[in-house]
Amino acid sequence: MWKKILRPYASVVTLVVFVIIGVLSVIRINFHFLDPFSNGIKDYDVTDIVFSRFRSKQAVIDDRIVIVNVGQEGRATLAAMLARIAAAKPKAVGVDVFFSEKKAGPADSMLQAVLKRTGNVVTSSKLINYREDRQEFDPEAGVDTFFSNYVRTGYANFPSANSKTIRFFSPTENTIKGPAYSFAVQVVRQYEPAAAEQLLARRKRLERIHYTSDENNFLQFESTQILDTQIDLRPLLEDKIVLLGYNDPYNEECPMLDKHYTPLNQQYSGRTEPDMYGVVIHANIIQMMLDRQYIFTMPGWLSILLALVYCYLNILLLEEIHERYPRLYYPIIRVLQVLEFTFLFFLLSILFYYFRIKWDFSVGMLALALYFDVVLSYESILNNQRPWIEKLPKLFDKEEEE
Amino acid sequence: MKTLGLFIFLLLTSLLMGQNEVVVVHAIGKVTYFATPQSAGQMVYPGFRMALPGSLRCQTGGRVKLLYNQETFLIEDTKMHPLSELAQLSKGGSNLGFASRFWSFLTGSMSQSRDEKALEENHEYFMEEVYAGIKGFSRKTYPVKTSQLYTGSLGTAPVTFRWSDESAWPVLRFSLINDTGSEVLFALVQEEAFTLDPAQLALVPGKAYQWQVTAVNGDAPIAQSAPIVLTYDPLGHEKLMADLSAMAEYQAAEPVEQQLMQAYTFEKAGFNYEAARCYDQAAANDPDNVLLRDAHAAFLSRMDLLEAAKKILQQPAEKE
Repeated sequence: MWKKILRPYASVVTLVVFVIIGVLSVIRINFHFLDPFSNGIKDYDVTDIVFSRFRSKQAVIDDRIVIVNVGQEGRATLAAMLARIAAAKPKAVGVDVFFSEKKAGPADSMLQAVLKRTGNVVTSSKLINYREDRQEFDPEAGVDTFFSNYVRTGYANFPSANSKTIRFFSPTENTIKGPAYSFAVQVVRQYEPAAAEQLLARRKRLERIHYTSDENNFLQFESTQILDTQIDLRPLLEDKIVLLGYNDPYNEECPMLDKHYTPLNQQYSGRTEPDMYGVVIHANIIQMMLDRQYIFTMPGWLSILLALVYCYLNILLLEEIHERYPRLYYPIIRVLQVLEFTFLFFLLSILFYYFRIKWDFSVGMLALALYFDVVLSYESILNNQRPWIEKLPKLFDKEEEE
Repeated sequence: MKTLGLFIFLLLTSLLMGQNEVVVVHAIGKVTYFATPQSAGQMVYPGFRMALPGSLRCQTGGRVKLLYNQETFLIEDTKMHPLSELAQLSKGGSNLGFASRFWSFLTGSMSQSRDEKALEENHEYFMEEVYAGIKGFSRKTYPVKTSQLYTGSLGTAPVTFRWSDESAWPVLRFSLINDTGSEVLFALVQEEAFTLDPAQLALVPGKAYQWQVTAVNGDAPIAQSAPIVLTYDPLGHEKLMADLSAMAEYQAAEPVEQQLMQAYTFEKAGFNYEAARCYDQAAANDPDNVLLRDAHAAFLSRMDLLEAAKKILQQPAEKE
């Protein structure tokens, strides 16, 4: 049994494949001529296809979260809206608006009075000026103390590289004034503290966002409906999370304001148009926390180990096929490669979709793409009549030798 | 066993009932729901639940997103939509399993290449799919100008439709068209006004009608007004008044305040013409009331009657 599995040929070729992968990953060449292509796929993740294409399209309303579009209303209107919302007794209110400076006029005082009275409001703030030496940010900015003294604040920053796709969020960060929490965490702390505690107990610096909803999964109110005294808001908002933010796709002047790229974007590579408003992203994070539906990432070392085993097994299979079908092994292996790619994609997708396991198997995929060509190159090198080379295990002319 | 049977019965009943329910997810502007063709319209808002036999209409600029059978539907035109349309359009919420979605993704790229082949062969069929250009943000201008006063709901009281024709053509054709496109009434007029008594016509309550004025030379149109949609609502006026009269605030208010409250209520419910009548009446009763004057001017500007609004605002200045 072990003799069949532990084969010198497979071991040597696997080693060569991984040496090549290692070398490829170390060499950095700036392929400018490939820029259009590389820019297109830079922002691509296999799991994005799962989010954008394999997600069930059935719309179900989440009855815990309600979204209110604040449009470009002034602070006086916001104060009036908050007063109406507070009267409907929601459990938590998140205002995804930066009240960054106090303005002249009575509107600010009205807003402050409502915030003071309401008690369960969270407003957005910003984390700025990361100090590397202290590994801390400056105190939360983006909200004037005139308001922040009476509300909880949560930062609305999202970690995102050049691609700008929002895949992660940071639950908590250190500031000079102590720990700061993200907007979604602060809202959940108001609504269901145990869920927030559970997230924080995971002690992960970054959480991958499990997107399950788009805007169609939430009731979306307009400011006019909130202010309309003929609508009884209580049965619609009582004991719920009410998120106020910009959610105005029909505004011809600025439909893209606070709109971002997410993995739900139908164009999963080379995205051109943002697809989700910030307030809906917060709502997705809140849903994830309330449902305890976190994404688990497979450790890198385990992925590489599995890739090694996978490559090794493929070479064993190649040996077997070569032995049985010496004339047909070439097309069989090529077809098998395509089938295996499809199967791997299916496997990775299904693990992510049903079990929320994010398995980065790119090394395994690369090994699958390379191993057969490596075998062919290796065999042609072996034809070189050098004494030390002849000692290496061979596959193709094994029968002839026998 | 009995309990299990009861449970299955309840589950099926709730599923069937759930399927007959339409939920408003998002609504912008004025969107009205009619439970039956005869019943008065109800404004809808997110979370509002409607029964499938009812109908829905958006007023100009209105938009509504509905959830039915786990699918969302967007309505943004001004036609009356029976909600039963959704049942025909519904594909069952695309309840494909994961494997089916995976397979359609894999084969999707193949169909795309097939599409491209078809495009190359018969590109003429695909020419109307995409336009590279913008719609433009300005409103279409019509040589015959009307106002917002004649949009919304129409009661039983006579209405005098007014317009101004830039071409000053001597013959104008006033027409009233129903939602199937048939002409209910037309009149050839010389003046820039036409009075209509809805009570004399066989209009159907809850139905939308469109009116338009065309300057005509024989049968040939010379200039037109924008088509304006009105909903015939014979009971709406009385109902609004009854609701308002029952309010303690209304009962305690001064007569001028009462008229303002009436005007506001009518405007909010889309009875713009009735609202204008209330403002006119209040202005006649109390011509020196500054609050009333400002409210009246603001209303007229909302109705696109800026010149009339300006005129009202200038009146006290002239007096001074």
